[in-house]
Order: sequence, then C-alpha cells, then structure tokens
Amino acid sequence: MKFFLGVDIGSVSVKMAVIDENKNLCASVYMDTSGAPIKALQNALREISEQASRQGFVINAVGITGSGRKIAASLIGADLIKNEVTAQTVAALHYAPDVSSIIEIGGQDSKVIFLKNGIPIWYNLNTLCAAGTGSFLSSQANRLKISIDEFGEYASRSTMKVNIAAKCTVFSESDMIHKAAMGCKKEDIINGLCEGLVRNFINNVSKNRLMLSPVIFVGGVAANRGVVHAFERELKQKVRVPKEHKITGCVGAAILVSRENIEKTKFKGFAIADHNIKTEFFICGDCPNQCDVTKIISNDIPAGHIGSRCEKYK
Amino acid sequence: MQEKFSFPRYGKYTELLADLFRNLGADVITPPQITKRTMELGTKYSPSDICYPFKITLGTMIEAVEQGAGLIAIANSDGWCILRCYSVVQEQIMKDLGYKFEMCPINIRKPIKFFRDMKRICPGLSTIKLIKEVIRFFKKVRELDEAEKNINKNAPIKIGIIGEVYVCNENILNMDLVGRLQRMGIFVDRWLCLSTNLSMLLQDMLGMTNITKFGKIAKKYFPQRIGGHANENLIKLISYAEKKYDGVIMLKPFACNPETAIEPIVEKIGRDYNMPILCLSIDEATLETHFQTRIESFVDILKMSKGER
Repeated sequence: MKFFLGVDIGSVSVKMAVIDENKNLCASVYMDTSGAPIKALQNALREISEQASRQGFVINAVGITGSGRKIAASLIGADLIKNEVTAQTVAALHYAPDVSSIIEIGGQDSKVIFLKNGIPIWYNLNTLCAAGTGSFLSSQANRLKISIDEFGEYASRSTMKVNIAAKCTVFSESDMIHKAAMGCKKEDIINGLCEGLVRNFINNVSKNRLMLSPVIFVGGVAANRGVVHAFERELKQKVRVPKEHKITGCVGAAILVSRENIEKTKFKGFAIADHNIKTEFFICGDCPNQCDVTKIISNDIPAGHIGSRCEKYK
Repeated sequence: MQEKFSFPRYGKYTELLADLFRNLGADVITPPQITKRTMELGTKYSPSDICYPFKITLGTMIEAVEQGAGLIAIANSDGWCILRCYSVVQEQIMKDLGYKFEMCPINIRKPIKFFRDMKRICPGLSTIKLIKEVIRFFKKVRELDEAEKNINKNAPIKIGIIGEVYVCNENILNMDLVGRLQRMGIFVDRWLCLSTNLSMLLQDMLGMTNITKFGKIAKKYFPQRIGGHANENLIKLISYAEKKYDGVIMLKPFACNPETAIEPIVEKIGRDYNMPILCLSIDEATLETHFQTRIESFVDILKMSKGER
C-alpha cells in the first residue's frame, strides 16, 4: 500500500493529511501558525511522524498547496506543488461527487468555484481586500472579547437583525462600537457580522452569480455555524459542510499527488521537523526588479530561495 | 542648445520608440527601467485613488527629468478616459515639486498639431523623413508582435488577453503574464499590442470600429462609446469567443474607469459563450503569489474542462 502526504500551508494555519491508495484518510493535523509558519510546519510534521510510526506507514509522495507552498516545498521537498483552487476542487469532488458550487473561506483567502458535471467552469478569489475572510471575523471577535470558537453559538442566539457595515474591517469596527453604544446586544452584533461577511462574499467573490445546489462550504470559517446559517438564509438553500472541512485543501493535494506516478519521492523525511531552520532576507540588486529574496537555511545548509523573479535564486 | 528629450516607458516598444526619435533628430534619454523606486515615487506624488498607469508614468517622468531630460512627451490621443488629463495634471505635480522641464502632449488625432509637436522634439524634421522613419518603426513593431504570436502556435490551450493598454503591454506591471502563460505551454494572443492598437486607432478615426462582424455583435451588448479601449476589448472578446478560444484573461489597473465599468458586460459575454474569463485587477500592492495562484488555477480549470486534468 502506498501513502501520500498532502500539505496545505495557509496564512493562519498549517494543515497536513495522509491518505492511502484508496483515498482513505490515515492521519491528519491542523495547526495554527501563530505568526511562525515554519515552526508550525515542523510541529505538524512531527505530529504526522508520530501517527506514522504508530500506524507503521511510510510516505511515498508529497503534494503541497496553499499560499506558502513554495517555502514549504523548498523545506520539506515536494513531488507536486499545486494551487489551492485545484486542490480544493479535487477534494470537494472526493467528498461530494455531485457538487455544483464550492465556497471556501480561509484565513485571508476566500474563493468560490462553480462546477458542471464535475468539471470546474468558473472560479473567483478575493482580490485587494480581506474583508469577508477568517481574519476579519477573528479580529472582530478579539474586539468583542470573545473566542472565535464561540462565534457561531452567539450568532445562533440572535433575536434581532442588526446591519453591520462589513465592507472594511476598520470601518466595521467603528460601526460595531456605534451599534453597541445604541444598545444592541452582542449576539445580534455577531450575527450581523456573519451576515455582513456573507453579503461581502456574494458581492465581491461570487459576484452575484447563481449558486447551484449542492453547495459545499469548506475552510476554517465553515466551522462557524453563524456564517453557515447566514449563507443558507442568503442562498435560500442548504449548505453542506463536510466534517473534514478544515483539511480539504491538503487532502486535495494528497489526491493530486497520488495520481502522478512518482517513482522516487523528493520528500526529505520527517527529520526536517527537528532541523534548525533559519531564514535570511535580502534584496537582490542585480537588476531593476529588485526582488525581495528569502534564503532558507536548514541545519546550516541552504535549502533554497523564494521570491526571486528570475532563475538566479532557485 | 537642444533640449534632452524623454517619454514614459511603453513596455517592449520603449527601445524602438527611443530609436525612432533618435533617428528623427531628437536628443533622446531612453526612459529608465521601472523599478521599485519608480513605483514609490509615482505612488507618493499621485492622488491616491488614481489609476495605476498614471502613477507609473509619473514616476518614470520624474526619473527621466532627474537624468537630465528637459522635454517630456506623453501620448494623449486615445483619451476618452482620464489619459486625456495625464499631461496637464502630471506637469502640475512635477512643477510643484520643483522640477524644471516642459511637457509636450502628443496627439495623433490632430495631424497638424502632431507635426508641430514632433518638430519641437526633433528640430529640423521634414515630413518625408517623418513618414519614412515611422514606416520603418511600424515594420519593426510588427516583427516584434508577430514573434510573440509565433510561440506555442499549435498548443491545445488558447488564451486571449484583453484589458487596459498600459498594464497589458508593460511586463513589469503585469508581472510578465504572457511569459508565465507561454512557459505553461499555452498559446497567448495579446491583441492590445502596439501594431493592432495603432490600426484600431486608425479605424476609429475613420469611424469604422463598429462596422466589422464582431463589432456589430459587441454593439448589441454595449451601444455607447465609453473610452479607454473598452469597446475594442468587447469586440476582441467576442472574436476570441467566436474563434473558440479556451479562455480570456482581462487585465486592468485598479481604479481604471472604462475597463471596470464594462466588467459586468464582459461577464455576461463569458456566460453567453460559455467561456471562462478571469479578471485581474493590478496595482502597486499586487502580490506575486496571489497573481501566480490565480493564473495557475485558471489554466488548471481550462485544462480540466478540456479533459486533460
């Protein structure tokens, strides 16, 4: 039996999953980056390594996705580097072969993918603004002094409709303060935020396109019942949240790499988890591009560079 | 003494333009490459909500004047968008900053004034020389444009590019979109290259834009003239759709008014022809990773819908 590791390194979390040849999930881990993505990557790898030694599997190939896929690939070695849209599509088709619309909301990314007969026909990602993503909700939760995990529960207790201007994170804060000063309850404000996020998504990301059923909702924010219900009210249909919604990206990467015929993996092994990893930043002044280059050093040995536009630092 | 002359960069045509003016007798300073400093200068001194090309051209002109240029030309002939006011506003901004130079807006739509302006840039210029050199210039431009269209000619996936003319042509701003796609093995048609742009301008001056086959269809979607290259883009979009291109990428600078306004029409045409369209909005804050992810995903989608996976 062959085993495939999928890695999804996003803006706020690192996700890893191991699947076997039959696409059964063998191991998975979800870890907050807490501002130190490389540390989190190593911790997640250590966790997978423990699960691997318990169950006795070895990794035959690695697929990496997410916004940090290049840095992760140069660190742990990858047989396939894929963008998040493709990875999410493949995963959604695995969990729901009949899916027509995929909503994915992560830390700083939100995307929508429309499919017809299992083939993606249109997609869109948020641009220029992260209002309507996980980071938006967590900064508002912070402001209201509640944990993001309680968000959904608070929203479900709401009894009154409160409109919050959710176009911009900073302005929505002022609006929240204003609404609180007017005597609105916390529950109603939270529900208003969930609805604002959904409005933003429908307007900026899915551009008011008709979302056909079945709709699958994945990503970290899908754990938030308040947002799920707000979507259901807005779309006037049921929204399905797979139980693996937090790790669909890396499952997709694992499925994608399992389809390639990898003879010998580029995976550098679980030992990477204990390496001493340093990064150095410099601006390459060799041409007018002036690229910001990051040099990755693993156990005093250069592992690679990212950020360069040309072939000079690879 | 003859003033040193410069102009804002215009992608891969910059060197050809510099040669043209040099051959016509101008003392040319080839406009400096767009670097981070150019972007910073342009962004710092421009109104913050103005379109990206305004900021970049301003940055380049400042750098050209720093290098000794005393006479700067900028095109304002396609100006039914705010390109019309670039020269006036940019001149004011730079004079307020204390730069000493003269601005010379070039407008091909007004031939008499155009020739007078050219004579100011290139003293002693004769009409015959102008025509001869311009024809030579056109030939070189066409060669350059043909070369781009010969890459991946028989590729299974064809992508058309529409959008705003400056970001479409300046590779530093569009992060080498065409090159990125070509390296993925895709045939790319960027219609807004200088040779087609100039022939479109001629057609427009003769009032012939809407009488072509695709022009008539485009007119049904959007009857008015709106500015920039918005109408031409719609016509090209329809031609890509009718010629069964696999997808179209629309590139526009953030806050570009005509191209932003037609976005819903572009989407509608995409739906009607069942052709995926990716709209990319670019400004000084665009991240390379974001950009690459969007392009890669788009190509994956086109491949998947072709059944290649």
